Amino acid sequence: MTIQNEEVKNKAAKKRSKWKYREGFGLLAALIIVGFILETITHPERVELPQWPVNLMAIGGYILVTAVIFYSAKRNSFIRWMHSVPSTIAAVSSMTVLVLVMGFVPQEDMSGSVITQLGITHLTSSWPYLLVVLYLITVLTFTIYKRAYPLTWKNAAFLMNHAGLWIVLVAASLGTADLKRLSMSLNEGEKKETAYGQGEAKYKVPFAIKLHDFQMEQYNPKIALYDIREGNVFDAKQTNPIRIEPKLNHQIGSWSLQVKKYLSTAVKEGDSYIESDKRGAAPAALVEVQHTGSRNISKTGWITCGTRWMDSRHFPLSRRFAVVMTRPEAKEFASEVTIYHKNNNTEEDYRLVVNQPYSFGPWKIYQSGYDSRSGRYSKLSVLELVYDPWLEVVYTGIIMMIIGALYLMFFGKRK
Amino acid sequence: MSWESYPAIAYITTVLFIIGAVLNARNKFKVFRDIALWGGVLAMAVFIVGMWVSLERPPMRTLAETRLWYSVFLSVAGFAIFYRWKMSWMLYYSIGMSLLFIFINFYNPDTYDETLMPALQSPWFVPHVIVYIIGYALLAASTLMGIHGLWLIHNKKSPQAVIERADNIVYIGFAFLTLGLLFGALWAKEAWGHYWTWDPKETWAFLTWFMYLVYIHLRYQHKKRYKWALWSLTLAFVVLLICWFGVNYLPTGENSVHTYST
Repeated sequence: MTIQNEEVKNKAAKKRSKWKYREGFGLLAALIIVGFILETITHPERVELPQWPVNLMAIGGYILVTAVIFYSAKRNSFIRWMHSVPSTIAAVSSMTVLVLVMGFVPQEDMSGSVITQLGITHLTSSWPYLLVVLYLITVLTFTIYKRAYPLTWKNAAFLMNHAGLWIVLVAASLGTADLKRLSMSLNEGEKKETAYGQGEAKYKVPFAIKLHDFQMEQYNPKIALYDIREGNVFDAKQTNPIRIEPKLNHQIGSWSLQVKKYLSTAVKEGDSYIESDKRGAAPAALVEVQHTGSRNISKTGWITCGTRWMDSRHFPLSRRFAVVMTRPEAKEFASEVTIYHKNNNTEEDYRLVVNQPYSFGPWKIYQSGYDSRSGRYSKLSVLELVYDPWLEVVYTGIIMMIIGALYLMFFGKRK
Repeated sequence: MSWESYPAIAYITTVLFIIGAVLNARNKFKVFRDIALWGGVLAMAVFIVGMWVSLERPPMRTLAETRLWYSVFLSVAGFAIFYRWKMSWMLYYSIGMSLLFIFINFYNPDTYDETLMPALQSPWFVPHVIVYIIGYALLAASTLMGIHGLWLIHNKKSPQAVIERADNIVYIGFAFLTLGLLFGALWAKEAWGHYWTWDPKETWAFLTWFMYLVYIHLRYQHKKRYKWALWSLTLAFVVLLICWFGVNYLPTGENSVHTYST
């Protein structure tokens, strides 16, 4: 290398290194301050991102503008600085600081509060946050343009991580403007095609749903030795309360409990309980309790957790202790439904279970809730209908990031 | 197998790990050292499998249950690093950490509970948690290397070799962290209707991911700025710990859908 060449290189390096961390953090701090000022001016309005199709046009316009800027001013020292590591670190750190605030401050608006006025209690739809995200996305954009050519294996892996993240960030932030999360409550036998969004806004959906049957499976309830004086479960640890099994034999402290009889659905008859499949029947157990310490008590009594239609019953042992039964927890709840598609007049039967939503196009239908007071006897099912036309785009980004992560895992850091 | 048989298992693993550590320090009977180390891991693994069978669900729901996995993966990751780079301190550290978690569970076991609420009944459950625990174990190991590096700087020695090893571990750990985060997002879409809702646990997971992003970029650019990188590595692990344990105690954590302990 000639001396002249070296000088040129040094000059270029100097030019590049003009802006570094201090300027980066300064720029981000300025962005955040501008964001807070905007936020106080626009308060109490929240920032609303544009909906379809304006958001798509915005993305297209953004890609076009950034591409023109990048390819026409590739050698501009500011553009070079934008996709440098100091700028990246300033952006990532600033975003971290803002999210950190969100990690400590509950995201619920309090009217009249200064932090609500600054947007800190609804950070993800506040100006400072959105400006920082926009900056971060721009850094990513330039970095991607820079590394898109030449497309070597190493650059391909780099792009999987960076472009994947770009797609996820852009599609997830702009996509939320189109996201609809609606709620539909159905009684057994009922058919509906309207659902409610936030603030009771009514929506007509492009399908109708009929609920045939709501079903619930429950775990056995638990049995607990209750301390009446303290008002809580006695010496709560791994074995108190404990799940009831028929013929369970169990020691809690100096009390020995034995389940003589367990009925999963029972009703009261006289002073005891009998098996019944009547609506409102509750689990009941006949328990024999012995005090293994000094007092030689042996007692037998019924306990039940009751339902909305039936009283609960505990079994007093002494002035201080009683045996109680807890309410059973749900193991699975499901809705047998038929979905009628309006566009092509087809219908489909489906069993909606938590974690197994029904999906078609941009819609997903979820089992969400039920009438919790009635528990397993609920005839009401609450469904959640989610509309997200951006989901497949976000998933594309996620899959790219998964490929990028696998590359990192197997090839790690290249020397 | 249930928590009732835990003390016996904890005892076996503790004794075996200590034997392994002592044999390594004496530099004798390498075969017995290896048998003791992996025997200790095996005992914990058998316990986890036994719990899985008897609970009829993967034992991953509560903090104590995740600590079981952590003690296994941390020791496996630590032993692997020890064999790969012959770092004895890594062996002692992973044994120490692993035993710490075993003892926390010994004095603070969870409620014995086989229920699994409907939201957790998903094929995503196992990969989501295991991938995260492996990531946490690796990043914990890298943190210790980071502290070792800071100690070397303090003593006017070059941390270069240590930090380069840490880089390898961070890359792999970060890859696992990314997978855990993304699997979580895919699962959340199926269970809760949206892939990202800024639930407190999600917020802190995001922060953790971003902190390691800072470390990786710092290392990429400034090969010789050891102090910056090492401090960012240490700080990242603090955020990781808040994400794992701390969220439950934060003002924001009350409404978290990730709080499952009874």
